[in-house]
Amino acid sequence: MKYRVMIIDDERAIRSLLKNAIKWQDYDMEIVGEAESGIEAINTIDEIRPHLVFVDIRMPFMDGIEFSRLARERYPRLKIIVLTAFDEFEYARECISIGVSQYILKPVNREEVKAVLEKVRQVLEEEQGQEPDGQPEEPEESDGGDMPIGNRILRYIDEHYTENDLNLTKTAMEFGYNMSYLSRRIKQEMGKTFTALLTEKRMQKAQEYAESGMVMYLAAQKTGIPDPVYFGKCFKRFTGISYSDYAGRKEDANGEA
Amino acid sequence: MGRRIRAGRKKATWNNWFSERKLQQKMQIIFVAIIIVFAGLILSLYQFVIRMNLKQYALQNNKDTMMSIGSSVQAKINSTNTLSKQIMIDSVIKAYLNAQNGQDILLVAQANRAIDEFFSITEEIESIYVFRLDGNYIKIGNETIYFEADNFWRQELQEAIWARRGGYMIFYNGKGAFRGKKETNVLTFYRLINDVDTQKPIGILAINMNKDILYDCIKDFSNDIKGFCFMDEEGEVLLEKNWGNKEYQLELGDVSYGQEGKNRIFSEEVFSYYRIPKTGLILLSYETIGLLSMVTKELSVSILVIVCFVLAVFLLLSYTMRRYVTRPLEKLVTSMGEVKQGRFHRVSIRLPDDEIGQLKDSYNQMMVELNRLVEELIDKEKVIQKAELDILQEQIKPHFLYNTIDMIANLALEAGAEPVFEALETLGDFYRRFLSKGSKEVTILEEIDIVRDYLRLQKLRYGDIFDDVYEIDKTLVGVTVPKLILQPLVENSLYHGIRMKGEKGLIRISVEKADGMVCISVYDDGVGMRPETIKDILDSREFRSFGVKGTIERINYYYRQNCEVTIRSEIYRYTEVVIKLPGNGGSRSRFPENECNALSQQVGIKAAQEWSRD
Repeated sequence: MKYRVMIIDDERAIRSLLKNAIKWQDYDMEIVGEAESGIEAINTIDEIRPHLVFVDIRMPFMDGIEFSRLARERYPRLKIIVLTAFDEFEYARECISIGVSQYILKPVNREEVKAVLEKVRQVLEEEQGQEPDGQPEEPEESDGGDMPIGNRILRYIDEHYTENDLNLTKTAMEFGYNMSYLSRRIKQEMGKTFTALLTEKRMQKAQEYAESGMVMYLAAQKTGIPDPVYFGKCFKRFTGISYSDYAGRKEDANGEA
Repeated sequence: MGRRIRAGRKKATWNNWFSERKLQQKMQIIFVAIIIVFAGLILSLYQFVIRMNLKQYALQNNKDTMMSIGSSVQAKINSTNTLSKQIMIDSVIKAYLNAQNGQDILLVAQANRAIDEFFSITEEIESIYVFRLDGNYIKIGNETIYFEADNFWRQELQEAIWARRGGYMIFYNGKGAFRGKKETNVLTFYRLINDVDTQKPIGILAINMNKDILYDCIKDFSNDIKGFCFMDEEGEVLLEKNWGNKEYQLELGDVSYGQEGKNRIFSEEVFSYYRIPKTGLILLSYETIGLLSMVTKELSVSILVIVCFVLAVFLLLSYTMRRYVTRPLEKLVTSMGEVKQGRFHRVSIRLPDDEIGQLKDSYNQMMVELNRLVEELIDKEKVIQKAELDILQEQIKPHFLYNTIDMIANLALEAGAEPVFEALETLGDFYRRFLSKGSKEVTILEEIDIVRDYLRLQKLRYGDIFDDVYEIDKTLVGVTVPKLILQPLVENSLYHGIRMKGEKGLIRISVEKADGMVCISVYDDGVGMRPETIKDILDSREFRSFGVKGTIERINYYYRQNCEVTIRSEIYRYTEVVIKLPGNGGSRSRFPENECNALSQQVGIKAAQEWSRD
């Protein structure tokens, strides 16, 4: 059994350092995902489904604290290790109250990281028998099972896509479904995940904004992805080209027309 | 010249002395001086006035007395003179005197009866003698007088009597002609008897008067301070009273009366003489009149009243000065004195609402202003300090530093430079603890970790020139100590001990308990220190940037007491600095609810064990 690890830090070097300095296999762990911001993390965590998260406390748009709060709401058994510098300890203390497990002080010291990982692995092993978060083995919902929910979900996304904390968990709570069940139903009916549907909606809207010549960071805010870096990433993945190129090409096309 | 300079100095000293007195004492001194001057003035004034009066009075009084005595003496002598005239014109006496030769018994008897009659009607007459020129005489009187015939008939006396031609003259004891028995002396009244018809001398009359007649005249006047003396014209003292042994210091002039006053300090002496007319007697007097005798009761009372009044005024003045000036000033000064102790308090004592009160108010305003300025200054200083600190922190930028270290560490790792990665890891560790959010105190464990990282970095710099050994009592690792007390000592050991030696050395850091104290020691087997150097480090206030001295001062400041610091050294052998800190035993945990902290301690200990093995 490998434990899935996700690293959230806006500095590539730190992510890379953590990844390379530690022999993860020694702890039955592997790095399965990275995120450059809290926004990106909260949008991708449903797909990455980590057991353990390293999160930098200082990040733009959504800091480590905010991320941890949201993540713990959704995955109560998620292990969170906060990366911090000494002078943020008061800040970091807040994390205790929202269930952050451990600290790693910057600059990163391998001894400390190893000691922390050892502890976390023990806890994870103790919880082994129990069901992991996000993968509940629950009975099929029979009531209303035949009633299609795809349109209702799409409508809900249409109304709420501008809220940056909109995700599967929140939607499931809104509709009164179990999260896994909802996820499965959407996949069955629409052939896509909830995250894919949401991103699709947001990106379609983003294309409209790009065509109207709106600057990227405003478009990012209006589509509920306030982190422009992550927004740019999503945009490029969706359209194949960057937001500025897309906007520029539209302008050229308009100019030629 | 020299004397003048000395006098000047003396004056200056007195001025200094006076100006150094307290206000109260100055007032008292001035009051005493004024009272003395005042009293002196009054005394001399009185002296002057009284003396003027006194002299006037004394002289006049004396003259009156003299005249009075003179008159009464004259009266006495006059009565004797009258008696003598009666005797002279008595026919029986005349017949006796005119009888020639022989003793006519009848005549003598008749004459005796006649003078007996005269004698019987007089007082104060001792005896009466009537001499005939042939040497016979008759007499009547008390048998207390001897008659010395030879002396009487001697030429000298006779010439004197005859020279008067019928005028009388008075001699003491008849100028030797009479001699009193048992101290009974007499005044003898001589007179040549002329025949009424022929105006030829026919006899001599001698009347012996008791000296008491003079005494009676002066006895009422004489007393302790007044003496009298009668002399005849020859200067023979006839009688004296309270005269004592006083020399007569007055020149007897030709005038009938003369007096002279002499000043004594508290008295007036008056000498005077009086030639009592028609008696041939000279009266001398001596009188001392004391000033006090002139001071009447009324005068004493009024002087007393004035003195009391003056004293009362001075006391009142003194009290007023004390009550309203000096005491409030003293209180004010005492109260203001607190400023010396560095407290800018306002004065809150009650003071009268006069200039002193205004002084207090001004002072208080000054204090308020001063406090405001000081606070302003402090605030300003704080702002400046904060700004400087901010700049410093800005310069340090721990975040930037830490992230950069991590970034470079990653580069090293990616490039496969494992030693670089490790060095950066140690550097990062060191700085994280070294800066530690500006906290002034750390646990002993953290302090040891700092030193360990420091020495590891130094090893990277200088190569394998020393071994570091740690002997730590594990029960003490949680004790709180001021930050960075070990690192300067270790730095000192490295630079002044080991590196000077030129060969591999040993640095041993130990922490142990001793007598309830935490005993921290840094030992090196370097070149050692000279005793003078040690003394300099421990005693001198300033020793060139030796980390040791500064550390000691910081420790003393932190513990608010002088901690025991020992430096043991032997030249070329070793140096050991031992610091004994109060074992407060208070283990400090900065994040009580944070298991991570305990974890990091465990890691530290584990690491310590690992390194100790090296």
